[in-house]
Order: sequence, then C-alpha cells, then structure tokens
Amino acid sequence: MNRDRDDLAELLRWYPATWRDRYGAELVALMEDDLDGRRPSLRYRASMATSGMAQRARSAGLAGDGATPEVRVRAGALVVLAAWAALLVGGAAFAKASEHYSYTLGTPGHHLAIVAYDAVVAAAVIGALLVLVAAAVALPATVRFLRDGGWPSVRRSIGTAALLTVAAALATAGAASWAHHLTYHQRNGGDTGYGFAFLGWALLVASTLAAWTWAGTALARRIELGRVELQVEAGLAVAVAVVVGVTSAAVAVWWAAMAHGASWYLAGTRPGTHPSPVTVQLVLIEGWLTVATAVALFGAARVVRSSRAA
Amino acid sequence: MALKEAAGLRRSNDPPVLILTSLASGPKHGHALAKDIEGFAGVHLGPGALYGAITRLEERGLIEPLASEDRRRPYRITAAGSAALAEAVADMRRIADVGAARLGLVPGVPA
Repeated sequence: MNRDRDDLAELLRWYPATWRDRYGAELVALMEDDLDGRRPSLRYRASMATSGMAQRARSAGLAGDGATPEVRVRAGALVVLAAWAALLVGGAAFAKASEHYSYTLGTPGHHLAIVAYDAVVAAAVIGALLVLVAAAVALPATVRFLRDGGWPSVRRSIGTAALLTVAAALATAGAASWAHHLTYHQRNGGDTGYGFAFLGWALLVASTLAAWTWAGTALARRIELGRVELQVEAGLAVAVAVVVGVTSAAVAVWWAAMAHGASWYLAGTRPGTHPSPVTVQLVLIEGWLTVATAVALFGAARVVRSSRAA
Repeated sequence: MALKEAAGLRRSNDPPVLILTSLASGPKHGHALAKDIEGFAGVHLGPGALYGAITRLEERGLIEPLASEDRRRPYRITAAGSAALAEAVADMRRIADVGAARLGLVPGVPA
C-alpha cells in the first residue's frame, strides 16, 4: 500500500512545492480512492502532469488570476525576457546567414534590404538598451535581496551561468584562433571538423544565454520591487516585446527583398541565376523569430492586463 | 461584474459550478465530490481537474476546508459560494426556461 502511495505521490512532482504542501496528501488520498488498487494508466499520468503544469503556470502568475497582479506583471515581464533571449539566438543566426549580403548591392530590391537590415540592427541595439535599463531598475532591489541573505537561493543558477560563461569565453578564443588559420571557404562549410566545432561553440553560447536568462528569472522572481519600479519594468517589457516583433518583421522584409533581387545569394549559387529563395536556414530563423514574437506578445499582453489590476 | 463571473462560474458543466452544486447539499471530501458529480451530472472529474477547481474556489473564498480526521479533507460551501452559485443557477434556469418554452415543453406556454 505504501509502495502504491509512493508511486502516486511521484505524480505530484508536476505540481509546485507550495501547492504540494497544502493539497498533496489530499490529492494522493483521492487518487487512491479513484484507482482502487489499480495502477495509474499512461493517460491518467498524462492528465496529472497536465494539471500539475497548469497549476505551476497559475502559481507563477502565467495563467489565471490566482496569483497577485504584481506576480502576474512580473511573470509577463520575465516571459518577454525569455523571448528576448530567444531573439538573440535567432538574431545571431540571421547575422551569420546575411554575412556579406552587401555583395548584392546594385541588384533590384537592395535598398529595401538595406533598410530592413538596418532596422534589425537598430532593434537589437534598442532592445539591448531596454534590457540593460530594466536590469538597472532592478539593481537596488537585487542588492537588498543579496544583503538580506538571498544568495543561497540563487547561487546554483548564477554559478552555472558563470561557469558556462567561462567555458564559452575559452571556446570563443579557441574557435577564433582556429578560424584565423582557415580560408573563407574552409570557415564556411569547407572544413568538416571546424563546422562541427562551430556548431558546438554556437550551442555553448546559446546555453550560456539560456543559463543567464534562467538565473535572471530566478533572481527577478525573488526580489521585492516597489510599485513604481514594477510599473517601469512593465513598460520596458512591453517595449522589448515590440522590439522583438519589429525584428522578426524586419528579417522577413529583408528576406523578401533579397528573394526579389538576389535569390542566388540566399541559395549560395552564382550571381545571375534564379534559384528558390526559400532555404532551410532562413525558414528556421524566421520560424524561430516568429515563435519568439508570439511568446513576447503573450508576455506583454499578460503585463498589460495585470498592470490594470496592480 | 456579475457575482458568478467574478467567482469564475461560467457554464453548467464547469468544474467549479459542479463542485459548488455538490457542496450545496453538505460538506464532502474529494472522492465523495467526484462520485456525487458523476451521479447528478454524468461528468467524471479526474483528480487533477477536481483539485485544480478546488484550489481556485478556495482562493476565491467560495469554499473552505474543514478539519480532517485523515488525509481525506472535506470542504464546505461558504456564504459567498452559495450566493455565486445561486446567481449562476438563476442564469441557467432562465436559459433553460426560454429553451423549454420555445420547444413547447412547458404545458400552457405557447412555443
């Protein structure tokens, strides 16, 4: 019986800890009555996982109105931060895909391509400044949190991010040194070993970015923000969401402009040819940026709706 | 905003409405609630859905837990819960009455 109970209690791991403390024992008792000695089916387990994740989303302020408006605003802003981190990854991939695109200058549509590319760069700069301002606004509260003994609760996430940063810096130095001895052709697919190393380096950098986003989220969920600080953060989050959307749209415009006048560049063929401008690389990049935009808009909508109640 | 909307009560088969309806006849714990709801509404609420709704109803002060003798904690409806349920039931009855009248199901009332 105790083994069955332990098995059922395992299903509670999908729920947040505070919820488990309050309702966990009751829910296990209900499952025991409901199953009457039978083992939970896969569907039953999936249902519990879905319910648990939904409860996590509610507790974190991402869904429903169970959490306070302040928690919901903060959750929406952190969703936008995650979308921004995703945008950086997509933006880096776009920077690689559009490398040396200025070779196509003079082809039809290049003016629009330049405007769109400049818009991507400007959006990246503005977005980075907005995120830095948001971090600066949260700095006093962060210092208070750490002074009050909050370090142990974020030590692990920040330590992991710091370790990954050191690893990424060493890998960058190594990759740069290697690339220095390679030709343009070798750096762009001509050397298989370098290609795999570059992919590993890119994954490491993306992991570092994800780790810092995770650490920032862990910290931001714990600090105490005043009303004004929270309103400023809310406004900045909405602005960052707009930047994410503008970037995604600008990349799409750049793609369309290049497809019109220089599809050969996109496909990597000789000038003057007219291959399909739909490449796997750009489809993945634009798809990734579209998902980031959808996530950012979800977060911004959560911020706006909850700000009215805060 | 109407009381029932503020309480998160929408359709007749919403888990919160079903739980409040069940508790209107007296306090019950989780399994008794699920069985009662299955009996009067033909709806099987899984443990996850049931406790998700119980959490929301308790947060809104529409139900409250009672002291439990074991892990099976009973809940009872509060005054606010009764008021919200009454409003929801009145709305449902109004729609049911109109539907019944238009289908000619009410004796003496023309369709």
